[in-house]
Amino acid sequence: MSNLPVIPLSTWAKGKSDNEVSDFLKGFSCKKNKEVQWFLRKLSMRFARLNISATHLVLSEDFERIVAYYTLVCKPLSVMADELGEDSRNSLEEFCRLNEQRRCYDFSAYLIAQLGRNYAPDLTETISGDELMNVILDHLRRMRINLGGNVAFVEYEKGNAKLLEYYTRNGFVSMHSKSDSGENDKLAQLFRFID
Amino acid sequence: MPLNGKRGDKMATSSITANFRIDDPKAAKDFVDAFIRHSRNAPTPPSSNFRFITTVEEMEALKAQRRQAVHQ
Repeated sequence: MSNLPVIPLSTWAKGKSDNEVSDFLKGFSCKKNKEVQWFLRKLSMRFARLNISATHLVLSEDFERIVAYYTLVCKPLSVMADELGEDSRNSLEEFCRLNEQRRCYDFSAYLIAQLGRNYAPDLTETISGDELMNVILDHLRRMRINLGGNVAFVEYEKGNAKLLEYYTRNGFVSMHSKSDSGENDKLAQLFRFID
Repeated sequence: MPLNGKRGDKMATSSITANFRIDDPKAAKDFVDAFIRHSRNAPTPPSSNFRFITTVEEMEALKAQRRQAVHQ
């Protein structure tokens, strides 16, 4: 299962009516994680139109079904400067400038905001979770070559051991970070470098 | 509709709309050291055989090509 087409949702939807797009997205089912299903069906297109995030569809060979999807966002990742020693700060001068006002260094990073496989019972083509991560990392390698940036990160629900094992197996490590979303007690972040 | 305006939106959009920071001293140092080390590595060329499509024309051409392959 290695030559499936991968296409941005906004490109796939070009020239199609809202109803056509909505009907197509309804073919994606993920009962294990309703949020993943809900995001694709209800929000992904709106976010794509507003250029907030980019959702990419992994399609079946005949382009008729969604096999999986993922959503990417460019995000700055801030590292608080006052927590760094002088050596680290000096070394960083080559890469980024200190934001004096906020006392932080901002790194360009790619957030893998959503990813999910289609569990619709009538779907004949599938990919594994690890294959899906390979697609995403390959996509990010292309982004790195074209745009620069070499950090990818994800958020996961704390206490979800299976998800933590999945991300760890795929090279992600704890970021020991915080967000301003008000979900710090529920969500944690993991990162890896794009090799 | 605001980004977090509906029930259920919050978890799905919180990652997308949030700002992230590392302010733990050890984590900050570890991240920066690894970042500097890693940034000097040359990028690995993309290697998967998945077909990344960027235009509608490319999609239509590939669809036609696959339809033809099925008929042959």
